[in-house]
Amino acid sequence: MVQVRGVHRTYGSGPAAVHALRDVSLTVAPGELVALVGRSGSGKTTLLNVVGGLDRPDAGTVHVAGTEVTGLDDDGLVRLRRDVVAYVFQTFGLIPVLTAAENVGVPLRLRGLPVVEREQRVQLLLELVGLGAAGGQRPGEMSGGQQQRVAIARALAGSPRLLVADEPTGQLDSETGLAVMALIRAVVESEGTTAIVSTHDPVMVALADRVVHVADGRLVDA
Amino acid sequence: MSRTLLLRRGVAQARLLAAVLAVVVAGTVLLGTCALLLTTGADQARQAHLQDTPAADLAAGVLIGRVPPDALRATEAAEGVLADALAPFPAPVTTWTTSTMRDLGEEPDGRPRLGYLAGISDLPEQARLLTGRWPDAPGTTGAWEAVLPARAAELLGVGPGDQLVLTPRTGPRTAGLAVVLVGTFVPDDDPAWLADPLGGTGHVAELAPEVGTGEPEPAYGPFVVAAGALLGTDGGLDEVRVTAHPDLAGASAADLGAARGGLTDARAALTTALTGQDAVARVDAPLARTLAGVATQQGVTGSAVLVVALVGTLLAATALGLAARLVAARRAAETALLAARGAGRRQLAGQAAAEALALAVIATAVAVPLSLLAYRGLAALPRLTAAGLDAPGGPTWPLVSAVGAGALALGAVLVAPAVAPATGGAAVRRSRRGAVARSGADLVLAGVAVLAFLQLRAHPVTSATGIDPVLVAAPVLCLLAGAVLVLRLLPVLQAAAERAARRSRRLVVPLAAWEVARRPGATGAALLLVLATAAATFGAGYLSTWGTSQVEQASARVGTDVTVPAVRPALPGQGGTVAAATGGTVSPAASRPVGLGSVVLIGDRAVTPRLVAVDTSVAGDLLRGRPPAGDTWAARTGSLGSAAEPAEGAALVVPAAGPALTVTGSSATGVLTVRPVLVVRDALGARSILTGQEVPLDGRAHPVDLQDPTGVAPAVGARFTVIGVDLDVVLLDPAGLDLALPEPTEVTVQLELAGDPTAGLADDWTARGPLDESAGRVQVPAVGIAAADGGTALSARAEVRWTAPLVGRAHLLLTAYEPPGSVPVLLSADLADAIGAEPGREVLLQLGGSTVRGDVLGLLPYVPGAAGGPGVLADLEVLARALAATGDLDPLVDGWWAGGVDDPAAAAVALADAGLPGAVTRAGVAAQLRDGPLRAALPAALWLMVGAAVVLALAGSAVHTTAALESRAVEVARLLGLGVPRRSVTRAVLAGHVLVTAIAVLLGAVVGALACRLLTVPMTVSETGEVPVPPPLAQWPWAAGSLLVVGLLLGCSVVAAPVAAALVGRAGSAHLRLGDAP
Repeated sequence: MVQVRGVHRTYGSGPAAVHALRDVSLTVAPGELVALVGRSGSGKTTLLNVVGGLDRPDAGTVHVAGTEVTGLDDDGLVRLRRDVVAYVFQTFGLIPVLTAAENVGVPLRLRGLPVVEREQRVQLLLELVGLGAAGGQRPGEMSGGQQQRVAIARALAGSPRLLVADEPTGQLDSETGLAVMALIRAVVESEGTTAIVSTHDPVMVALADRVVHVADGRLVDA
Repeated sequence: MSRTLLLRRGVAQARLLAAVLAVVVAGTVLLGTCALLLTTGADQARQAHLQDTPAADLAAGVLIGRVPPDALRATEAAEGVLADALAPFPAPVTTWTTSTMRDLGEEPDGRPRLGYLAGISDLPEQARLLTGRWPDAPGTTGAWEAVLPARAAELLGVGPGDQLVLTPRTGPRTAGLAVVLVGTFVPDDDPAWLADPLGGTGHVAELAPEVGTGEPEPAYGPFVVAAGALLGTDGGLDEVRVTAHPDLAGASAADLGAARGGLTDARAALTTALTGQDAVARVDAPLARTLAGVATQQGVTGSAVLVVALVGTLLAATALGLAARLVAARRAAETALLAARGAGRRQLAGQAAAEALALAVIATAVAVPLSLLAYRGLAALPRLTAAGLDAPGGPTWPLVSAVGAGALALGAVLVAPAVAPATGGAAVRRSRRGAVARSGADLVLAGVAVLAFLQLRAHPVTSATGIDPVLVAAPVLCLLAGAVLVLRLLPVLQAAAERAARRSRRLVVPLAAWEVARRPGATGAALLLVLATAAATFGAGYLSTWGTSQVEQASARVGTDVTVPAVRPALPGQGGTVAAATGGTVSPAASRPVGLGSVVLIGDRAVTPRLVAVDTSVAGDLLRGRPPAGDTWAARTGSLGSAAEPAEGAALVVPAAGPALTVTGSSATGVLTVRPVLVVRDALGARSILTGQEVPLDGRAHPVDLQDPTGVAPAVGARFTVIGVDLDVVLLDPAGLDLALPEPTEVTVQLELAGDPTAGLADDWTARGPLDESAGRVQVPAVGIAAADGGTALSARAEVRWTAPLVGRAHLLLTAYEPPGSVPVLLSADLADAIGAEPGREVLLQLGGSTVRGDVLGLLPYVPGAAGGPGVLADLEVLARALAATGDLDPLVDGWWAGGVDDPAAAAVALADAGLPGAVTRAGVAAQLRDGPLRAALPAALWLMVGAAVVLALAGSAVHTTAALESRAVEVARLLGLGVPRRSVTRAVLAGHVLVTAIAVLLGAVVGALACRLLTVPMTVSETGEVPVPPPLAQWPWAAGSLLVVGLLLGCSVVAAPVAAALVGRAGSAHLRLGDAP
């Protein structure tokens, strides 16, 4: 599903340059849940951004679902994020002025779904994440766990083939974090979605099919 | 926080503070420019206006109508009163002394003639010496030296060296005064000569007696002697006129106010000064009226400038409020940190105040020279340069004070948001109604604005003491209240946006709609945009309403395109000169005071109505000014001339040989003479008279020497149309000492007119006696016209019954038409109200010594040419015919009106070149009303307001947009991360901004249009502070208004485009790590 080959990413230049990724190569099979583990600043987020097309490597290639991400232009990357890859952010990433239902509906509006069909799917997704009755609430009126579940529902709205989650439980308590991770595990198993999750959470690590350690921009094992 | 930290923060946030400073500077530059307009500009305008004012309107005088025996003492007292009244100014004084009329021998036909003396202290400035020299002071014996108008000298057949005697008819002296002519002069075209008994003409063929009902006599003069000589005589003086001409160059407002006050007190001072001198005198001070007019006009103009200043300050404060929120948002984290470290609100406020003070100082330093530059730019505009505005050399205290105060006030706006607690981010759902709406403060403001509006409507007359507080407060309050009130519509519009978003399949527009509907501060710029649009469109509307009103007032005052005073006496052919010079439709016109048989009171003032009479058959081409609603001047005045059926008239052509007129008459009894006066008419309908000498009715043909009103015989070949003949029949041998009435006699008169023998034969000539039958009654008149050799012959036969002993005189009037019994008239509405007249009623029209009946056909809102006061409109020919039937042969030509003139300015020049100076053009009066020195600042200030509103709207919109969009950086990154294309994100960001802008600008346009409709009419006053005539109509300038609305919409949208593009371009993965703002 995902093939990363010899990717390098450096920020800045000269003595102050930060080598976020150094010759990283990684393969993720379809339907696999991979956990990226590493300290803060190890390069996990950069690797996820490169895989999801949010960032471009300085060298190397990235293939997602057979598409070379590193060769895509802006429009191609937009289509990638709309149709193939879905993101779940540590900070939830919800649009504050939109309700939960409206947030979940954003990817569906991008596809131009008819109103009725869109609202049905949104309700379905919210029920899937256990928030069927909270569609009218805004992010500011929800707990962190609820917000993250909405974010997951939104991520699933576009039926992505690859789910990328950057420390999805980083701002949650352990119990809530467990629930969120269990949800991701359930989605992977039920939907057949491939997932790459960066995490410090040992529970998530335990739930993953494979653990990849990242340190100083390199993969310790792949 | 220490000064060092304040300074460092300022440097670090230099761009931000520069934006804030720019808004403060914009607002204070407007304030400074307005301050200059109100001070330096007002002084300059006043000086320019006074320089352009005719000298006669800047004079103040005392007229001693009953001169005491010690005329010199009375004159010195009057001079003292004037000097005291005008104390701040040097005021040279001129004295004009006129004697009573005196006998000056006899005319060649034996009629007595009159002459009079005058002493004019500044004669060399009032006249041009033609021959000889100016007179010296008389000695104790011998003839007095005198100079005489050249025309009088020519008619008398005298010149330098000739001696004449003037013998008083009244007064204590009976001995004649011998004068020897030492020169002749020509009076200048100076209004001072209007006070001369003969108007400076030197000769009047028939001067009405000063007292009693005696016969008019020819008069000559003045015989001007050395100044002051007459004051030393004891009696025989008719009047003494002392006139002061103050030098007002560089006069301050305070000094002019002092002079005005002095002139107000001069009447009482004069009474005191002349106590015990048996004098009757009055103060005649055109200067006081001029200064009052100046004060009123400047009050009106100043009020408008102050409105602009206040509205501009409001706009600047609103824009600054947005900027302050931007600053507060940027510093929110810093403020929270300081608060957490123990900084109290007072400390934070002090820090903000120190920064605001620094900004105010910098703004003042920048705004003062910029204000001077802006004022210089205004003064360089041709219209304002012509009004006398010129940039001051440097900063003035009023400028610095206004700018400084404004900067401090605006700086204070920055303090409150800096210490206000955070209100929560976008995540918090809050009421869509703003704080003002929730508190109801907008309703309170609306209530106050309504009261101010009602006060304005009921308060049409401005004070003559300066700025009118009602004129200032009402528009400011109404604009502000309107702008705040319409914001209550925003929640409704936001709800509609939400509903639309829910129903949409797409993302871009719903995203924009959600932002507008839900994000706090999304509509933060709405108040600024509404107020700016309202101010700009209101300013454009007021400018249009005011400008149109000036044109309409000018049209109503002038009545037509060009008017020119007739050269008196009216001579045939003058109308042709006017037609050739103007190329328009020309009509003779009468415009003079008219009595209605009783005092006319309007309010508590006694007013004298003015009668205007023109050829109403050309009213459609002639009359200007807004006609009565739903009507035209032609339709409204069409029936005024119905009583004047066409009359061809008999032709009179002066032959090269032989007389133009031969009179043959006879009487059955008594020795009678007849003096014919021919009433002639030119091609334009203007009347004049040709006077003949007295000829005996002895059955023989007598050639008559005709003279025009100037005493000159008409030239060979001159052509006239005779429409009437007045025969003055005199019985030479009235009854003897037994006072018995003379026997009635039958009189036959035949007048042979040289000319076209076919002309006038079809006219139905009529004959009648005069209305005044105190001397003789004419009965059973008969008149006919027939062709004769080389012309026509008018024959009249009548029986004359004498009605008074010792006086044998009767008038017989022959006319080529049936004289009308009454004159159809239209009255101005205010006159009709004052005298209780209505259509169908009869009124008496008293013109001079003659009275005719008037039939009221209808009412007018005003009479063209007599606007601003009660007026009567009539047809000139009908009026002339009615007056002639009473024996009044006055031609009634006071001036000429020309309509349909393509180039009025050129026409005025051509008229002056043709010997008809003093033309007044409608365009010229409109330009004076609009661009005169005392008015020019008003449109300039309104343009300033429009410009400032646009600038502040754009600046405020840019500041708000920057702040609003920067706060959405994280959200933009998230949208990109969700796969929303960049251009869609940009469109969504822009669409939200454009939506708010469009709503606010359109609401502002509605407020501005409503304010224009309601406020501009009561705000538009005449230069005397009263309701203009005609009353103004609110004008909405569709072109300018649409341009402003579209311009603001586009401009405020365009400023957001680069910001949005930069925001979306910068958004990247780094933002995805960021949480939502607190």
